[in-house]
Amino acid sequence: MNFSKRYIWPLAAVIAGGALCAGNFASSSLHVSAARTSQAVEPLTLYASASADATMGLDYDLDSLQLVWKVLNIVKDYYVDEIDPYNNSKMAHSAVKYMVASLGDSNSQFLDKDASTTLSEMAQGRFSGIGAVLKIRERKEPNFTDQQLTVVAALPGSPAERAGLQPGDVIEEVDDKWIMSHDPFSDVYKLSKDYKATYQQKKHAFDSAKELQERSVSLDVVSQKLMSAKEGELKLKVSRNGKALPPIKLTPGVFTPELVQSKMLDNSVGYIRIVLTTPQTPAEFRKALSALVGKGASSVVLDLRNSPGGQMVASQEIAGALIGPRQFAQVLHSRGRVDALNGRGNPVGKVRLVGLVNLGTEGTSEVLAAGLREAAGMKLIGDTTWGNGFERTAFRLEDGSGYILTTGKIVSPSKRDFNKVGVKPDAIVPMAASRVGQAGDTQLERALAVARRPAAEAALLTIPGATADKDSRS
Amino acid sequence: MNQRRPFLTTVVQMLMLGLVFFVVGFSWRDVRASGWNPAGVRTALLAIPDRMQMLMEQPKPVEDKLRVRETYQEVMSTIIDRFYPPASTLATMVVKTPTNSLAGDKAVQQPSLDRKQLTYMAVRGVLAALDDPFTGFLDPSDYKKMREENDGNFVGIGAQLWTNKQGQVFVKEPLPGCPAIKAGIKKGDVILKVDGQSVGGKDIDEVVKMIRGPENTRVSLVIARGKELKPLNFSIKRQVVEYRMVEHEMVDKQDGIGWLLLRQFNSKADEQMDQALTDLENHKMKALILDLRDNPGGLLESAVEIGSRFIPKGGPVVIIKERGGQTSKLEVDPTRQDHKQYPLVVLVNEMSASASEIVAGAIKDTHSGTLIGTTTFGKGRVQTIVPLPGDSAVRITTAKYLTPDGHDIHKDRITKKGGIHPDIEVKALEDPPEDADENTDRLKYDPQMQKAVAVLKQKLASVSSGKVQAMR
Repeated sequence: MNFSKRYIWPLAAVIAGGALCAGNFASSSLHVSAARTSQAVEPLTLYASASADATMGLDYDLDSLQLVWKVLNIVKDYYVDEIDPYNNSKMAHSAVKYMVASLGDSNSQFLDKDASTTLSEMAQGRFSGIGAVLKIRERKEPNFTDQQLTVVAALPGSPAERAGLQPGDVIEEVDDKWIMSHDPFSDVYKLSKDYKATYQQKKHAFDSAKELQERSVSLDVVSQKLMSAKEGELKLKVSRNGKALPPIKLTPGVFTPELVQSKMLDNSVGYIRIVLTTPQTPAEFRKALSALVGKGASSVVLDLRNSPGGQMVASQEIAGALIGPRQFAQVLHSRGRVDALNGRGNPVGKVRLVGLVNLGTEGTSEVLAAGLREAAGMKLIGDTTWGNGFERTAFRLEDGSGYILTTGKIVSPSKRDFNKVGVKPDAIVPMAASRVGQAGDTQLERALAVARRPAAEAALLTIPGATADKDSRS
Repeated sequence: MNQRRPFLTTVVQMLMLGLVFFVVGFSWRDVRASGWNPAGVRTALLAIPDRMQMLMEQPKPVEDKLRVRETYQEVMSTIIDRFYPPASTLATMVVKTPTNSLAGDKAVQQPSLDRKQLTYMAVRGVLAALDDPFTGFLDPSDYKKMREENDGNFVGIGAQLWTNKQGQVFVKEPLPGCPAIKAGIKKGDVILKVDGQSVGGKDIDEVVKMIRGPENTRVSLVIARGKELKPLNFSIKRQVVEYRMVEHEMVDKQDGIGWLLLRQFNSKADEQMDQALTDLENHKMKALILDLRDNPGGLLESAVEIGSRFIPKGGPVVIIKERGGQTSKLEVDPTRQDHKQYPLVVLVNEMSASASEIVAGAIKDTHSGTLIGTTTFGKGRVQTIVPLPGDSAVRITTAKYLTPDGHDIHKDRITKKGGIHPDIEVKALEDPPEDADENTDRLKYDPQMQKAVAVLKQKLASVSSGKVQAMR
């Protein structure tokens, strides 16, 4: 029949093409990652990268995928209790927890549903708990690394501020429970290999480790409690500069702190304090800055003290109000990608900037301090800053839990890296962080002096007692 | 009629063509991801059946529940694509520095993530969610170690090492018939160098690692011996060495009380026990102490073999209760009962677990001996090792076991009840003196052993006075 002869090749081509597509489509359903992940990358808070392009696609590994699949099948077929290992949130959470923990980065962590919610509320500027921004700081000890729960800043009007918590304070116990900042048995392991140690020493080490473990509470649980408790009373044991303070009692609650505070210091010098960097902060900042300029401010003291980090986009908008769309930082991303961080929006007016910083200046606030110093010649007065310039992105899983990853490192336009060391001010004026905004704020007095007399700036910055090259934290 | 055959042929041809292209399309991504190197393409093609199966058995999503495999894939992709390792993590296990620079820009060169280790961690996490301390993932090195332990042999020189008070590693005992003793290594030799490398300040585990190696290769040792002034050089061929699972001794020669320590239950344990019993019998043993203290268990088969030596035939050593409730009895193997039955004491403590508890439980239930010591660990679950591709494996709890009388001895997590209670509770000395030599002072600082000897003496006395039946 002529039919088959005439149509056989086109038909063959159609079938071949169809089959190729069908095969590809069939296999594509195994590769959920590519399509789904880009949706799941939902920056919750922190410094979400502005350029979150999904360059995934070929990112999977056959052997690894098969391994996971086989293990799930083994659990299904063999485990003594019958369970569903395929649709199992507990298993999925645990897998994510282990994967993220294995990165060996204390800033990358798994977030359960509650922690994830708390985090997004904080990003929106709604705070509960004790009202302090807390971070884990690592300190190397001979036998272990201590993960200390450290206060970055106590927010104005918060229970933590009223209780007198200061940046750098380490919370050691909550409600008489030791916060497990390291494996209590690390000394025991060490001793067990020490042939010189006596039985008594080993027994003593073991007993005290056990005692410590029995009255301990995990770091995750406690930080979640401190950030989300809405009532009751908490008893904290805090140490400052290695010395224990008397026990502190405070009542947690829910509150929305003021984001920006501003006033005129005199006829030509304005003052703006950024308390928190949330999505609402830039608008308030712009409003306050316009008001100051309208009142005739030619210089502005930008107070970034006790100002914990927030969203990167928000700080880009704050920078925009000051310097317009110029670059004030860069982010080093994975795979060698470098992205510029530019200001967003038009500048409000031309003002001379004097910056105030201290140990409580953290994250995006540090980025602003270091960036504006280079981009706008802002002089910095106060204490060395916290030293965290890592970009962290929160990713959300389908069920509302999530995880945070360190996704980049932020450096100044001239590639100065302030991670761990902090941003060193041009003039160091040592002062307790709790005196910020109170009477006797010597840092503010110095900033005002510098702002008033541009000509004498250099001399004012090197007033005796202010040894600019000494790191106050060392 | 004539025209139908070509038509059918055409249909078949088209179907074949479709199938071929479907497979090509199906494996396209894998082949592309393999980077077009022959090995990668081969793996990708070989994986096709597995992938098809994966596709067929795609589990249905359940609302409000995360899908484990998809979540793993999602997080893995995100980590690989986005994670920026802070400098402090460079030394950790997961991060590997690539040997070739991809970007060409050395300043921004970064370590890459080890996908395999990340996957291992994910699997560990999945299994940890079962809240079963006996279920876990064995990576290739864990798995290898475990196989060596279960097979009862490893490749090495056959010298038991120990650390002395000066922190030096010395030969505690060269194992009989092994390469070390054949080469002339003696008890007490201090190891100075391995393959030219000084071992000063090294941990005993590190020294063992240095001495181990592939079969039939040589290791050179420099050794200090007693009063010899010059260090001695040895070159020893590494060979397969059997672990010594059993130790034995006549602790009371007068009354004929033998002591037999079993370290672990592996495939060589029963054979070694047989030899030890023969040796004890040659020394006129009349009663036996079976020491299962600190014995963490081992293979189920081995427990049945060894249990069969001590309990009467016709009953089970242990009852296995599978998922779903079916039970199977593992009966006494009469061929193992090739030694006489003696008055028996079994020593147990809180570290006697698993297979040890099977044997101790069977002896207790059948009144075949007296249990002395402290309550045992309480592990009444059987694990199976399921090998995985890439030399890793999963150890997974697959069944429960019951003692012959039907007791589940598994320790309850909440009530902390479980384990096997000894017939006579005797605690170990809390603080044995530092200088106790476990060989010469075996009885001196060991109240459990002392009690065992006393009980056996009493049993022997009643045997000789004709109360044989009462004792069995």
